[in-house]
Amino acid sequence: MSLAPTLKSPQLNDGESASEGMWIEEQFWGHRLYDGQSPWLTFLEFIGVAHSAQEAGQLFDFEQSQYLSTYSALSRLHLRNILFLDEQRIVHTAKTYGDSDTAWSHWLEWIERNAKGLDPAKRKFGYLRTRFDSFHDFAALIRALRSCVVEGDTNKRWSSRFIFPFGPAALFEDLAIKDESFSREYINFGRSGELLYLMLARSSLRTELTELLPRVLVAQNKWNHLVQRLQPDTTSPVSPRSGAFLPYDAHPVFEILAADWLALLRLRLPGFDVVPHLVTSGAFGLLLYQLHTSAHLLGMPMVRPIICEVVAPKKGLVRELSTECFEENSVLSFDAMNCVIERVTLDPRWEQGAGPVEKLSNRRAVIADMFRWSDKNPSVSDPDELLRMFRSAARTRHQRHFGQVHRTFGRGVGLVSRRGTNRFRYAPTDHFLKFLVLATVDKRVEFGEFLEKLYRRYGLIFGEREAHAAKPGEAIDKKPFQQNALRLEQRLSSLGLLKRLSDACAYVENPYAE
Amino acid sequence: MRADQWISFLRQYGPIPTKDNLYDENLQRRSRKTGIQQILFKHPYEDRVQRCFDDSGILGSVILTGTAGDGKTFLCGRIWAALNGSPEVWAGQDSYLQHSLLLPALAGRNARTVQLHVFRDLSAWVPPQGSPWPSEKLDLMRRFCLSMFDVEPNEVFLLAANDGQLAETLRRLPDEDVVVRSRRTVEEMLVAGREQLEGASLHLFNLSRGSSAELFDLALNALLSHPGWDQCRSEIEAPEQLFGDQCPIRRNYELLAEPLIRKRLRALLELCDQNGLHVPVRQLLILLSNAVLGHRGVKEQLMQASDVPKVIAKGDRHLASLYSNIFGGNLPESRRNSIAIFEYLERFQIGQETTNRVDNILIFGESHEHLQAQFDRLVRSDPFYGADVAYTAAKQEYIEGSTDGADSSARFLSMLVAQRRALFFKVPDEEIDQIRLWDLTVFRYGGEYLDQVLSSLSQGKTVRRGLLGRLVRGMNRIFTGMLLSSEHELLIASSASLSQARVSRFLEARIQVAPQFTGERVEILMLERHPVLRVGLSREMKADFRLTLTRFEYLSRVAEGAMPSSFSKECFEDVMAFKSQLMRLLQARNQEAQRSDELTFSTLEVDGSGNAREKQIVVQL
Repeated sequence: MSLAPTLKSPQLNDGESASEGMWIEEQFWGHRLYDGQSPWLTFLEFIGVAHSAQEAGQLFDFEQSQYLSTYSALSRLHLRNILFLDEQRIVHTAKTYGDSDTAWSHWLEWIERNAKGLDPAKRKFGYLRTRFDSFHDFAALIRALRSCVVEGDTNKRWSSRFIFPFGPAALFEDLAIKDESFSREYINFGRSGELLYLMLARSSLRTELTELLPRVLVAQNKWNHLVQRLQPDTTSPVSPRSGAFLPYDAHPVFEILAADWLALLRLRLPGFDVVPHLVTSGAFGLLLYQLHTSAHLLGMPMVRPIICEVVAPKKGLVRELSTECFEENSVLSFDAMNCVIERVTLDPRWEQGAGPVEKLSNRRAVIADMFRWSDKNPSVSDPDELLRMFRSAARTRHQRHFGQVHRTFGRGVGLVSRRGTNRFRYAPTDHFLKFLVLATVDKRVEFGEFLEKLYRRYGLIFGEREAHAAKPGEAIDKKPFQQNALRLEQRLSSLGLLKRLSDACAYVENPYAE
Repeated sequence: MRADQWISFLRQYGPIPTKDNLYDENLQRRSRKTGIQQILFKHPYEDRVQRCFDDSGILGSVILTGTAGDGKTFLCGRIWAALNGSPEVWAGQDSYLQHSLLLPALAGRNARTVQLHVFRDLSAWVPPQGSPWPSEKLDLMRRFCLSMFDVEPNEVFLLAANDGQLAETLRRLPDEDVVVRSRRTVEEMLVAGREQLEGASLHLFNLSRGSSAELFDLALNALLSHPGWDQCRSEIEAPEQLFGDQCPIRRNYELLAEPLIRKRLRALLELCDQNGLHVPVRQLLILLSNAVLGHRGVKEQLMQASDVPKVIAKGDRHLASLYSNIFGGNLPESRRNSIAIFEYLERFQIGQETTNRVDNILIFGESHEHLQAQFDRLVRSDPFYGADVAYTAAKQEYIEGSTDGADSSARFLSMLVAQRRALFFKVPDEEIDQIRLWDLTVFRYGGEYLDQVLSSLSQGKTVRRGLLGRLVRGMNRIFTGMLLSSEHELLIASSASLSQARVSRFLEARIQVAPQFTGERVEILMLERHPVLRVGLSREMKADFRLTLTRFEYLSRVAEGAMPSSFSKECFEDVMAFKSQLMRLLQARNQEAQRSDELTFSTLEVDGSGNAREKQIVVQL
């Protein structure tokens, strides 16, 4: 499937685009890929959108994915207050009071006085009392649920803490919560998850996905029931959300992503075990999307080589090439942006104008039309200076977030690492390798074919044949790549994902394939 | 045949740097030239392959696959001869041969001729990587694919190829229906280890699936009974000449014939088998010839007849020690590491692992009142490779501490390694427990695995209950991440969200070890020559965990000690994958058994004595 731009785009002075001050990465990659969002938070944001669409009977509906798509987000303030507000309180109360009734009344009194984001009329938690046999049972289960906090170590603020997505009842959005009110927060939910949803909804496999995704959104499981029982019977307030923009209706990476998700969703994994792999797949898909789109904008072949080192005891050629390759790939979006900026000069108005003043104002108009940018305090008098200034503003903005995406997403999924060195390179973790096998291997495949598939599909390079294919004409030393592939083989085998038949033949096996 | 010729013929089987030993053909040629008979024995698969071409009914084509050195080409030759193929044609260079089989008329069937195509070395016949298929070869391969699905084929194929080449060859054929189908058939047979598949007129014999221990018996008998040794005996001239009283070759030959040494060596090979390490015939012959002829100080580390008097005169006899030759101790490290059998045996770490008791015997035994008898019996009494003058001197120096420090102690420590290795083969069965023989290897439970698991099961007996309990305890500890000591039930637990969490506090199910009327039970049984731990969840639902030696060791160590999660990541992953298999089955089993008006959660805690305490929490719906 090739790339096809979307027909519906935000207009000039639309709320979202106007507030950004510049509309450049947004225009070509989307609004937006946000480097501050970890793979897990991306997934949580995604699953919230998906759930909202499912409720509306529009899961992965292509038309609904067009700009300006909307979804409903849940706040679930009762649940969050119980789980995350002053975490020690419940444990402490259970320890202090052996008698259940006393414990309940102490804790209820405290929570009804202190709960945040709820007006006094809604600050009622008495319903909990009838649902548990004792306060101590309640406390034990709360402790258990807290052990399932997503990104438990990194998110300190209580209103930005999330629990594992057991089911619909456990989904809620990122909020800034004040005493009795709350508002949307972009720190953790920066729209990467919304984009992920749009990508899947625009893939050709959306029908199959509509059928299978509900497997991870089942309400009928006991953990979802438990989370549900922590909340009052009244429905949680719903806020409409919108603003995400994905500039393509079709894109090869959408297809890769969707195929990976389908493969993962079809696995026979118990309980929620598929979720961590979807998390990895989602963020890895976004990484590929950024990379391949950049390559496309630069007129290069879209699948970029990603040379991976299976960590070796000491540094060698593969590590060196991997580092180099990472550095090239991580500036690719910057190069692509520059290339896009260059397009202003092709506008017929660019060179028009009798004098510098007129020329300058023409150019201002071109830049504003194309990228919605204007110099804030118009101090520029030289028309050529204007472009330089725009470039520099764009660069600064790019480097702050969008330019970091390749590295942070790569690290988040376990593809990029600094292990053993002080420079980043592609050195996949066991978890990432496992994801690759689960997503791409249908029962089993010969090791060499597996390597070839990883290369064709993602551009990942482990072995000598692929290295050679990626750099035709260059003399590449075979041995280091052969050893690299051998190390990969050993790692896969130690993960129980590879079966060696003899010295000449090994199969990569997906133990969870149907 | 002269005795010295025999010795140099035997050398050809050893780990010599020239690759002469790589090809059965070369050995055959040499045998014809010198008139010395090859070391031959009937291949365990021979009769079964033969049966496929029986003239009462041809069973279709045959693929012989296996690791290099498994005897694929050799076996092809035997079949060729048995089917009256021309010896001259076989002696030629062609890798592809043809032969007509005349099938006599039988009841309801006329006599007919079946064309047999033999590929004794597929890789030599297939066009090289990157070059296109010549049309006649392509045609032949197509016919091969077709013949697989013909119930009564007019042409059959006998193919010798290692599995990699075979799979690769099939992949390189154009994607036609019949090719795709045969590719799938062969792959399924290879990976699942099946000899036959329904609907395919094809037998696939993977020689690598045979028992190395069984092959070892055959190879050792063939070597020991070779007429070359009689020749050696008849040519003895003096004690310090070939096969004289002082001759290390003779000594090694005699040691190899000793039942105890043979038994221990066989045990190691059986353990290799159970760890999925197959030792091909060629590697066994390398092992045996090196064991007899190895010597660190001679040319190519393998003795010729002419080396014998020199070695004796130099006082270097101990460098020919069979005990160290078995591990390739005579070879330079790089060469040793490149030979599979030595690499496999190295994994036992025999000589590196030890106990205080063993080292006390070896170092202080000579003058220790309790240990002296053992020292005398096991070490001093061996005039060849036991405590000779050099050993005693080095030991003395080591104990007293000498001036040239590191060097001399390194020398002694390497002698100590050799002595520990020798002990592994010398300690009689009655003393195994006292010496804790298996502590000399990295597999401390190896002996138990052999005697109480493998041998019990192959005699149709059940495995001791206590041992099963220990494995269950080990598994419980890994499943829950807690230091539990329960061994009467298997505890399957998860963390709330994931089954693969290191610590899992929520109990999903307890499976009784003792058989229940529901079909629940945990037992160890033998499946296709390998022991498995089988967990029954109901009458219909069960899951098997193959108990390789490494997994057995891992579970036992986890059960008896703390939690060496670093001991083997691979084993940990294996056990976790098994847990997830069990959880999946449980999900299916328990689907119907949910109450609709309440939720029950069972949390798991360990009490002071390691018992699992379960607490049930109920939530009203």
